[in-house]
Amino acid sequence: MTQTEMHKRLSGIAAAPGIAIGRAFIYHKEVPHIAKRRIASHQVESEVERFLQSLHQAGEEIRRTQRLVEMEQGADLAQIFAAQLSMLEDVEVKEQTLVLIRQKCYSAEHAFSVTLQRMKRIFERIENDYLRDRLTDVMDIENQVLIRLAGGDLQALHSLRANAVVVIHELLPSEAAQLGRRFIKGLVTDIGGATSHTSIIARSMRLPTVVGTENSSREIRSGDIVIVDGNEGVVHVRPGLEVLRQYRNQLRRQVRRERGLQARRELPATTVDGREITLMANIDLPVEIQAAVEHGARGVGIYRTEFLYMGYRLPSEEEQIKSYEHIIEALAPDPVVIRTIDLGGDKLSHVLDVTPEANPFLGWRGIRISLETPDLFKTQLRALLRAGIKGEVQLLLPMISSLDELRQARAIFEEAKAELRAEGRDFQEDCKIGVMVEVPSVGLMADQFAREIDFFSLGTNDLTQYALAVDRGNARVAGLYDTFHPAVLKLIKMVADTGRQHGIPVSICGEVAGDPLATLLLVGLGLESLSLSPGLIPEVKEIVRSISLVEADQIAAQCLEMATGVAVRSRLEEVMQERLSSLPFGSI
Amino acid sequence: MIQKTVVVKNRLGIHARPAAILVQGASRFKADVFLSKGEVQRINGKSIMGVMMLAAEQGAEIIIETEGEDATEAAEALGTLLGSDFEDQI
Repeated sequence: MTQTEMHKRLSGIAAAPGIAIGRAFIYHKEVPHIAKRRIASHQVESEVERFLQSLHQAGEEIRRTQRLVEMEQGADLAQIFAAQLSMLEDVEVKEQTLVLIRQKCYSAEHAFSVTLQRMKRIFERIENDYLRDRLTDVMDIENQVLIRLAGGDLQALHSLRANAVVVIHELLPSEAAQLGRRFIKGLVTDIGGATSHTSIIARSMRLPTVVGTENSSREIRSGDIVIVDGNEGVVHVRPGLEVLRQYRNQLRRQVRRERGLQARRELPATTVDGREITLMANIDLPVEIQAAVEHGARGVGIYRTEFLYMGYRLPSEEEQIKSYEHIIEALAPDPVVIRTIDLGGDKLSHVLDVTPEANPFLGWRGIRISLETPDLFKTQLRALLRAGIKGEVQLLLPMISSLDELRQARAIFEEAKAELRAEGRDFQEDCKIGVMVEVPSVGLMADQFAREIDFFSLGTNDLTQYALAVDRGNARVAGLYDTFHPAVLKLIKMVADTGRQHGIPVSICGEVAGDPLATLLLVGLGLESLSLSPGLIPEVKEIVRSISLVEADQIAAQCLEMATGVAVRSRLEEVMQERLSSLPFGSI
Repeated sequence: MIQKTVVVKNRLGIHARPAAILVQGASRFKADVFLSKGEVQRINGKSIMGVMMLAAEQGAEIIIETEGEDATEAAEALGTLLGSDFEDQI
């Protein structure tokens, strides 16, 4: 069979733009099929040896990954591997497996997998979400050992070589974080949507990604040449020479374009009639700082600190200070806006007493948790105040719905300051406080809020969900989710106007801030600060540099009068079409 | 055989990290260590899988059984560990 005949085209959802060409690395989390094989009794000892050898090798592999992740991402994430290691080296697992090999003449694969099946069944019954979630770790080590027994390639993320395109059934955000940008070229998943956390992380790492391809992890074989087209949401497997040539050309243009944009990173983001728009970076993970600096971000508009709380325990004050300082120093003298913990209770069940909720989005989350767990909250406030001396930090409160919450939070903030003063510690006295506008009530009461805060930050992802009553993670209704909906635009306008009247800054940090189609509109609505995924800054800056305030105001006024989000979008497409294709990065 | 009953004091119960500490503690002794909680009987105290499967929350009652030459010391040490808020002390 020739290459051309084997060529396969898989379509999915474009999750992060760009082209990647590389060899496929299939990351199977599911356990390979295990034959229930028995061995002859004289083979028992060599089978035992084979098992112990694989166990040892898998252990070495996990240790290497642990060291690597610790270096690249910090100790918190590396703890996942420490825990895996202790499971791998568990005496019971080893003993039970050996008993099955010696007494029942099971093959090493069969014996090990039966042992872990038993463990998994017990884990599944545990009535504690956090412990039950450790099942994924058990599956991970099972996989590692079985693959070694099968004599297969190493599947640990560490063994990825440059040039690899990772193909995986489903990628969890924590796993996405482990895929250092320099190790891989692109990412393909079977399931997932464009707005999932994993896709957001992929975009911020500028990793060409196609998600939701349904069965890529089965269709593609390790070592296959794969083209990931993150612009169109298409994956080419074992492409023919002609397709390959086309994409190589496209890739060359992409590289040239990136270099061109890099060269322009020092240019100001100023409209043709002289209005400067501050472009800041959204940061989810400390690794993204470099991209923020490289792309000329003027500070961090939102540092989402949830990452710190996903580990096996709560981060201490000192650990948080270290994490914050790293970012603050990298961007000083530009400010870093740190949003305090914004998780739903379900994500914190390992450290808090949480009961399941019928409506988590309307439930115990964000500031609501912080105010009820003042120790946890105060630790974070102390850490950010202390880290602030390395530059400038600003405090951003999530999920605020009433002034009471703001006042309570401020009281705890003042307490934290008083404590630090009493302890004689250095901290940033003049730290500004802002609130996220996510709940429509804050937008509607922007006037009252403006008297008590230093800035607003529009979290348009949640604002859209709450204003339109749509859970965008729910495929059945996700189509109703539209940040261009005139109702959402009116809320944005309301807050922008109020901010200007009171002389306090208003920035926007939802995904729409990084959408080149929206830039003209957002500037027209009166926003002077956009916070977006670092990789998108150069493109949005090019647009800012090509528009005028007069035109932006006009278009925004038209859009506010429109009846539907679709109408707004098509008007913007019409206005931007010509312009976008004439910009250095080509059409969107 | 030495037997001892303790109540878990650690605020978050025995999740992954405390389990690892407990297993390390148990592995220092030559004696066999078994832990039981309610219906979960005699799991190996030197196995992290076993200890995690206990899913012991704060306030849970754990029976420690030890067998072997340093059984007394082992029971003593693990009883003290389990009965303390040990995660905060490390």
